[in-house]
Formats: sequence, structure tokens, C-alpha cells
Amino acid sequence: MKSLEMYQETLLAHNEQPHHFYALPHPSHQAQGKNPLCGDEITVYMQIENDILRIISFTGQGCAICKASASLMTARLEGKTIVQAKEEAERILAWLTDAFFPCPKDLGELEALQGVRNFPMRLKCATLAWHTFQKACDTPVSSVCACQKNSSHSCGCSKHVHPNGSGSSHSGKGCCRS
Amino acid sequence: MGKVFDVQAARNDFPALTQRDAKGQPIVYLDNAATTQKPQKVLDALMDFYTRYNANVHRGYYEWGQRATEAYENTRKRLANLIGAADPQEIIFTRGATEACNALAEIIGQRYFQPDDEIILSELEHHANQIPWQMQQTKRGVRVKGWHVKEDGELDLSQLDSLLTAKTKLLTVTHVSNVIGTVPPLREIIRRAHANGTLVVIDAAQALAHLPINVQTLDCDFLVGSGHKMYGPMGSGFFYGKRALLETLPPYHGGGTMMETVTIDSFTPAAIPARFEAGTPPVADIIGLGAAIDYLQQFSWKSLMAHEDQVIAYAEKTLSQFPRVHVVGHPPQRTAVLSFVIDGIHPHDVASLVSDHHIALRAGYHCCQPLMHRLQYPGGVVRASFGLYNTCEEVDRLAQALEKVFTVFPL
Repeated sequence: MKSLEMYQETLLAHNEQPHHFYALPHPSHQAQGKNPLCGDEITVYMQIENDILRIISFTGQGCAICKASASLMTARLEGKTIVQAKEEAERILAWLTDAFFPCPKDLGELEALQGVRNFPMRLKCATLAWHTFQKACDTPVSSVCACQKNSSHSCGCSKHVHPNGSGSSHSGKGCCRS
Repeated sequence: MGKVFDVQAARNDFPALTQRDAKGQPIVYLDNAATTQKPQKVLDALMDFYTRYNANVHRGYYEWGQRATEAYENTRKRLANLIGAADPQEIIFTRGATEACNALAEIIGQRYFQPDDEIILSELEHHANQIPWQMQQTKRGVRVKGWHVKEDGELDLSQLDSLLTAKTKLLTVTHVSNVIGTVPPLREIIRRAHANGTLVVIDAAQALAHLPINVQTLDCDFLVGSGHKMYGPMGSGFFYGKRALLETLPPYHGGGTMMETVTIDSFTPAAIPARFEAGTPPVADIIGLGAAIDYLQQFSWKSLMAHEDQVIAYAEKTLSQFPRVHVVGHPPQRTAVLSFVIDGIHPHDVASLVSDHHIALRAGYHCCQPLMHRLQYPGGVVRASFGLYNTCEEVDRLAQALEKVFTVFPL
């Protein structure tokens, strides 16, 4: 099995010109995901209105597989109800990581990720965006600080309390998205 | 000593390198900074121990026990000889360089660190030689100060004097950077640190297979090494410490061997080196490390270094010919490691795609996140790291493979 098989035309195209690759200005949900050993790092931004994923975008940096997977994901999930989007993410993650999971018939462009399934070392590149989407679903922006230090960090902003408890003072000004 | 280095003959000493791919090509193994291949002599030593005298050390009064102990202690003598230690008792075996760094941080910390003391950590350090010292911050209230590298990845000696203060208890620096291949001016660093009353720990994990080391000439207080990066087995490592210092340090782990007398509520620690070697050590792996040292020492450093220098210089020249390739750092003396980035291609994609051509590279942070951030490589770098068996022909194969990678990701 050649690594080259991972790098199909669709995947390379999404890496070259990723869809939805920008920081959404006022997201309702946002999360950052990292693969600490390799440095892949992406942030997923979402606007959820009436339980519908109206807008999803991402920023960050990573390998071609990581970036293409994020791009394919945003194209796939945008417009779905949040319940549908979560189910879809679960299904695609199962397909990517479980060799015995039946191949979904409606893969469409996601088929470009097929090759990665044979390279366990690269799976984490392909799954990062999807896991980050799942994390974002549970992270309404009222709990995200604009300083990007997310939930492990406390700030003194009056507008919200971080999930880890009320914060102490923080040097950033106007640091929270309300 | 003294045998002229014959790379083709040396390659035949490493069974893993004699394998061929479907096209009959051997693997181009360029991940030696992660771990080196093992020569047959090392494998034989492991097999010999397990099949002919597998017994625990320092305990058995039967023949196997004596042989095991003798072979284990012989590695201590060989290591002392390899690094120029005055006394084999100054060598403490560990299960690897990481364990050695953790042990040193803990025992030096216990004995010497006071709240508000400072530790200087160079930015070239591997996480294994950063985190154990950082952990001392919460344990003992010391403060870690980073010794930053310059834009070219070199340590700036002129910065050192302002970093060293009356509170600086310890400085630690690598002998060879596992990302850039840089060799810092250790003698001068150690001289200045000592003039300030500061202890010095050298991380030689990346150096031992590639250049001669003499701890007495260097005058370092402690030095850390890894067996598996010098053609020995995984699970073998060590640290060296000056006898007078080691004797002041408390034990690291408690258990068998490290004690002199034990009552139900107390113990007295054993003398060095046993004090720091609690429990059953990785006996076979340490014996294998002895065989690796024998293997290395059959060559003269001069001939070995001439060969490795030639290959790495050729690699730097060859890769630099590609306009898209940017080599990381330009140290005056580059030892065994050449990292690079390629315009428009992420390091992981490079490493994956060259693996199709049976070439083993590594991509990522290389356990050096602070250095990657300083040098502004957010996605990490690709690293080719060399061993004594690598050749210029292998560099050519790497270059050919890279040309194919360029076609997958045209600019």
C-alpha cells in the first residue's frame, strides 16, 4: 500500500483551496483541536441557529490530510440540523477508524479520505477536524475567551464564567465574546 | 582502534539493513536520531545472555549469576572508558536517557534546590531534558529560565553571563541538538557556569554515537546518555556524575540493591553506584550496550567522523540545490542531523510520501516544541538523521524521492 494513495486529486484540491477556511467573526460555538505530537492545530467556528448548523468554518495549520479533511467536513456538515451533523460526524469517524465499519454508500467527496484508513499513523490527521467539531458542539462561545486559551484558563471577565470556575483577573482587555 | 572505516562492510554488520524491498532496494534508514539500528554483535549479546546465562545480577552465587554480574559490570567499565570517566562507579545505569534526566532532576533537586533557585535550560533541549527540570518548579519552588537560541538556531554565549546569577544552581545543555545537529561550545559554557558556582548537566543522548566525549576534559558535573541511540538495545541508558557529587546525592527509587541495611521503619542507602540502581536492572540490555560500545570502538573516531561528516555535508549540499527546500540552521559543525522544510508541503506529507520509496525520515516537533516556536516552524520540520552506515548514495535516493514528492504538490 503506497502512501501516495492517500493523496488523491480531491484531497489535494481541498488542501490547496480549502472550503470555509476563515475565522467566523461571531460564532455561537467554537473549539480548538490539537495533535500535540505533530503540531496539527485547527479551530472550528460554528453559527448554530434554531438547532441548525447555519455556518461552519475553520482556521489553523496542519498537513494536507488534516486540512483537506477539515475542508471536506465543513462542506459536508453545513446546513444540517445539529443532531444530523453530530450523527454524521460520528458515522464518518467510525468509518475512518474502524476497519470493520461498513463503507457508507453516500460518501461523495469524502471518499477522498478512503486511503488514509490504511495508514494508522495518519488517521489522527484526518480525524482532528471531526473531533474538534464535536468539541465545538459542546463549547458555546460564552465559555470561550478570545485570548484563545479556552477552558483551561480563567479570566476575570464579568460577562461569563469559564467552565473551570470563576476566573481571576486576566491581563487581556475585553477578552470575551459575549 | 585504528581500523579504517569501510561503510559497505559496516552495513553488513546490521541485519535490519540487509533487507530489500519489492524492487530489491535496501531501506534508506535516516531516523537514527530516534533510534539506531543494532549490529549483529549486539543482538548476539542479548541472545547469548538469555540462552546461556540468564540470571539476576548482584545476587546469585551460582555461575550464571556471576557471569551476568560480570558482564553487566563490564559495560560500566566500557562506558567509563568511552566517556573518559575517572572511575566506573561514576556510571549509573538507567532504562534510558529520559529516566536518567528524571533521576538527576529529582536527586539533585532533593539535595541542592531551594525555593527561588534558578535553573538554566537551553532552548535546544529535548523534552526529556526540559520537563523533569520544569517539574522541579512545582516540587521545590525553583524557577526555570530559558537560554534562547538566535535566529540561526545557535546558542548565544554572550547571553549566558546575564543569565547566570547568584541564584543559578544548575545549567543543562545538549551536546548535540536533535533538530539542528548543532554542537554548543560546551567547554566554555561549563567554564562560565562553574565560575558562577553552577552545576552543569550535559545531555549526550544525541552525541555518543557520533563524536568522542571526555567528561574530564569537559569538566561537566553530570552527563546523560541513551543506549539505543548508539547502536545498543532500547531499555539501556545511563548517567555519569562526578564521584564527589554523586556521593552527596540521595537515592532515586527505593528497592533491592540500593540499600545497605533495612529495619522495619528505616533504611540506609548503599554506596554509589548501587544507591541509584534499585530493583532488577535491564541486565540483557545493559550487556547489549557493552557490545555496542565494543562495536563502536573498533573504529577510530577520526575515520568514523570523516565518513559521517562527508555524508552529512553531501546531504546539505544536495538538498540545498532544490529551491523549495530550506535547511534548518547552519551550524559551523553539524553532527548527524539535517532538518529541513519544503515550500508548500507539510512535513508529515513529505515523510509519508518518501516512505513509498522505502526511505525512513521523521517529521514533526522532534520533542522540541520551544525550539520549533522560536525558529517559527509551527508545523514542525522534516528530519534526516544519520548513522555510521549511511552513504552518499542514500542521500541521492532521498533527493530522487523528494523530486517525486514535489510533483504531488506542485508550486
